[in-house]
Amino acid sequence: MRVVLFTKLLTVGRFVDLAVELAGRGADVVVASPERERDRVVPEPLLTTPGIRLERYAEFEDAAFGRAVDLLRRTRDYAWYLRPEHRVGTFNRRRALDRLVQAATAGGRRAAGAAWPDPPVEIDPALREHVEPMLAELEALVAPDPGVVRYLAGLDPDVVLVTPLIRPGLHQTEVLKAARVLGIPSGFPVYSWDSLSNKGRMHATPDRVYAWNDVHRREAVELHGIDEERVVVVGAPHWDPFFELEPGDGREAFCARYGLDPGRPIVLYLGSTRTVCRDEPPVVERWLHALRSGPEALREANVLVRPHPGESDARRWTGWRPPDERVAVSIRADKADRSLFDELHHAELAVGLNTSAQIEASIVGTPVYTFSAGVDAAGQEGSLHFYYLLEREGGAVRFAAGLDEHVQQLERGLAGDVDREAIREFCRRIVRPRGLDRPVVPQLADEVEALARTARRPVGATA
Amino acid sequence: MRAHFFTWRYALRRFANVGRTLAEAGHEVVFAFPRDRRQKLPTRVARFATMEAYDEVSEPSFGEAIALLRHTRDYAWYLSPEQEVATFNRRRALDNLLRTASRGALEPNPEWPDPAVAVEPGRAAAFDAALGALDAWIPTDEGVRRFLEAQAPDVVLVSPLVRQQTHQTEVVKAARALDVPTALIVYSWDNLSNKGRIHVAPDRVFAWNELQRREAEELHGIDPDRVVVAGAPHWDRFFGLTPSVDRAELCARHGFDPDEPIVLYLGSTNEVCPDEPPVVEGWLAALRSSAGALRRANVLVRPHPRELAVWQGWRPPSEHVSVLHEMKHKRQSLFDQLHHAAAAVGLNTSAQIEASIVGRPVYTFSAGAAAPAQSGSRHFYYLLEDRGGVVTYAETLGEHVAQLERGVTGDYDREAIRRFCEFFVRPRGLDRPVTPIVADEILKLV
Repeated sequence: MRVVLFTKLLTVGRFVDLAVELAGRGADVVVASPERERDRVVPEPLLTTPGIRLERYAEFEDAAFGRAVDLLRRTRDYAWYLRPEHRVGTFNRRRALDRLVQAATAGGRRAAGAAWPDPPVEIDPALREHVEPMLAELEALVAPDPGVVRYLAGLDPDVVLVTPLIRPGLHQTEVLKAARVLGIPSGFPVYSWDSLSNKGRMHATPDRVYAWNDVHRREAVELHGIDEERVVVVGAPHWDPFFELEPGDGREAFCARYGLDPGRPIVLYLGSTRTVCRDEPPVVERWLHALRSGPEALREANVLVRPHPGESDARRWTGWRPPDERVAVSIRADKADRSLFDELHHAELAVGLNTSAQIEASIVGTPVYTFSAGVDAAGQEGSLHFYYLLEREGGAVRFAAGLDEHVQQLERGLAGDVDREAIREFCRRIVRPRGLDRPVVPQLADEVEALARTARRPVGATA
Repeated sequence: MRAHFFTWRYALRRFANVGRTLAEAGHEVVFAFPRDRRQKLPTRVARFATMEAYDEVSEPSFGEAIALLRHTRDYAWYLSPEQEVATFNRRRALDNLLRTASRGALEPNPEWPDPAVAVEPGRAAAFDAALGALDAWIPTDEGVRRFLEAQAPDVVLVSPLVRQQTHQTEVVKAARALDVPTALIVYSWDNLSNKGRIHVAPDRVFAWNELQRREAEELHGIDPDRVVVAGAPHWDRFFGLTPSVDRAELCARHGFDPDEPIVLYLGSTNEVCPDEPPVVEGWLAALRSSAGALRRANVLVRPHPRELAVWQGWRPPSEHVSVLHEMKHKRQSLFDQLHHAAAAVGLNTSAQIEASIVGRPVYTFSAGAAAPAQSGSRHFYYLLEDRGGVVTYAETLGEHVAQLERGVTGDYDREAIRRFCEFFVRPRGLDRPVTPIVADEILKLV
């Protein structure tokens, strides 16, 4: 069996274990990334595992075609964010508008006017409901890039995987369409918890969507119009190693590293990306002030601030100095998962605005809290996926509209008022819906093999 | 040679003579009409041509989607600096876009600014290029392609092409896919600026004149080698007309004083002026306030042939003013009226060009907001004296009356009118009928 995994070097890390698993089962695995993506460090197993090879490919043969379909897709994305289901998605909608403006002006303009209201014009529901199918029809009419078709035909795979698929600047829709033309089955392992709501819409339909959970399934069906039979809920494969981790240090050693008092509780602040909160340090300072003005347990608690590990996200914290001696900034580690695990393990509570580490906290069993950062974090309450984690929506993150309420919640948390079974159930539901003790990668590999065994469709079939 | 002419019944009258010329030279001529439009050929045309009906799109969803794309591109086109004056066209393009997008449910809010969005020139061009590339990548409607393949023409002619409602772009695309040469015979003087853009370039554009050549190149991006300036074929018959009625009889018919000059008011379409009678009443009041010949001049109001109903209840406000309530023999009656008129006046209508064929001076005045498609249409300016045209324009009625006074007393430049007519209608020579020129060019293309 030959599997071609189309992804980026930036995102391939989440699928290394899948590639290794498939290769271990005898598959010939090709990892194809866009040739225009800058060089990045390639995970070692992809270079050393027999049966895996890396390739680069041109996403478009004709740049003008690329710009044209990009404009169409950015238009569709924006129309999609005008749906009532995305009513709360103010941040996503504005970002989609920015991207549409960029596409429409061939990059001449980077963003919509800052003063433009959201939406810039009130779109009558009738208009949007008519336009979306028309735009979909246009998309369906456009044949895939011929260069991608030739490239894929040359590889002659039994199955094609694409991920993250929904990401501006990445054109994997062409791969899906090319696979359809060639009759090759295609699967989309969902990249992240926010991938089906936060980045835009699917513009072509894969034969399978490998969803993490039922939230993804519902999104795939309701937001993207995917047939329910095409969605397989399998879990989040990239967290399999995280489930296997054990604490690296004892509490004493851990606290000593950061100058924290091992006799006091640790509150871990999980930083978000710049996209969620452009300038996070002032938000954290206000939060710390609230903690230190609160009840004794919080006034005296250790606080460890963990910046988001993304390079540009972490840079915001350069030069930031903790305001008191029991506040420390996490040391950026080469192995981010390892350090996160340790930090979550030793923390009594975790706090964050909107980050996937809130889900990892549930794997470790650490309770998570959040508070509204308002306009300082446009990508928090303005993102649909933020609400998926909230307790009131069936998630495990406790939300407070104000810092006073938040501090009271943290105080109760430190006092042991935590529903650990609810956290566990949330983790099962979101990360490993087929059972907390069942690693996802082998199951996903099974599903990919099953898809590869499906008969090729006649060339050009569009169903 | 087998020529397929894709047009519709209403437009046929402008090209029937080209078809007849080809047929008389031994070629087969087929008129192809959309199946959902009136299809019967007039008897005189059926003598030399046959008719085929075709579905403009195989699937309604395809038609809707492609119309959305092209109306979006049309609107973007009207945002270009070259279309700055075209406020009316731009609004209409937005109207078309919104109606298409909403399946007729929505229209623009009149309070929206014009343009609805301000776009820097380079960015509008990038947008247009991307939409054009998208259109180019969308394969032609399969049904149209099959129809054309089955018909096996040697050449495909289309007109008017620029109206997206007719989807003739699909015909051009299909012909291109089948390697059949294509040509657009420009339908009217306003077609390359007023209706929308050409979305797929035909192999030839048979333009009326150098203005249209420039429009084809500059507004539509057509390769100059593809544009042939031939003239306006449908006016060949008009050039051959002679008066069918003498002045005395015409005056008698309308109760005119034969000793006074006749001013012919040439009505415009409802699009140009949604309510023209009040405009004419204001104009007549200005004429009658004149101290000169216009105070007593005969005035014949000739409504636009499509707008007779607008004038049905209208009664002339003063003596020696008459209005036509019916229009038999449109071409001949227009010729007679122009022939006997001392001057013609109109807001924005092609009859202003016919006046130049007859050699009559033409005047216009700004009707302001009452005629949004007058100064809000790019083609309006093509006829104006100060832009190389022949129509004398006045900002105010006072100025207009002064100009018209001079005109009815014979103070105008006849040679300038002749030169304009040649330039605009018969650029290859006033004495050379255009129909054979177009027919020859079609054969060359084949």
